[in-house]
Amino acid sequence: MNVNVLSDKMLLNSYLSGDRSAMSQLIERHSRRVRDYIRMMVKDDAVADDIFQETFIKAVRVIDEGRYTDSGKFLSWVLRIAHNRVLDYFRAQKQSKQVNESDAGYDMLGTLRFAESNIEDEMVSRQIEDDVRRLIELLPDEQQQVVKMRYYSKMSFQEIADNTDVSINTALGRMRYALINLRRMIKEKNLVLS
Amino acid sequence: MGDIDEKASRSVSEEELFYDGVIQGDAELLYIDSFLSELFR
Repeated sequence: MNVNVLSDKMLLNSYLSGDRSAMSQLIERHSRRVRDYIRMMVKDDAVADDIFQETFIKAVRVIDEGRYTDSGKFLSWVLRIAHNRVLDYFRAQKQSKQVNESDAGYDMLGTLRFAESNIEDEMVSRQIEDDVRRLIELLPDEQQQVVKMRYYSKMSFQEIADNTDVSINTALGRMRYALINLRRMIKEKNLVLS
Repeated sequence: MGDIDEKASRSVSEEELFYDGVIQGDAELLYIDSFLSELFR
């Protein structure tokens, strides 16, 4: 049977029925997107490869233990695992930096400090923030509202839906289109998000 | 996204609604969201 016509669910069922190659095919189908996301975040190929492997090891373990319920969103689920792994990596980096800082010194309260960023880093960061804020102002009103509520005011999607008197479905849709529009504008203006 | 309202009524986590309803497997959108969350932290 041509595996290209097999849905994720079919491949998963095939794997659970004993066809080990079905998992390889499933991973291969989604590896590019997952790997691209991880690489974009960590900007290091070797680290990205490690996190990619950890992601699918975790995914397969959850499936093998019978804890995965397929709802047609396999890639979404795997991207969540990848994202959490990326966050774990950044947290570990931060802690490692704290340990290094303790060798270098500490402030008068005896608390650890991160290395102060230099003036140039702060200027670049401020410029990026200004550029992004300007792009947000160019979004259609409804999308702008959702973006500001989510990123500026840290509201949940339920809170956004309640505050704008729409269904959560609509709030999520506006968020999706806002991100799609921001992506388009970022590419048009050749902005580098880093 | 037809099942999103149904999921919402089942109190499915925000995270799951976000990944299924907003990101829908698009790695670039996830990156932009992560970047914006960090930028305005």
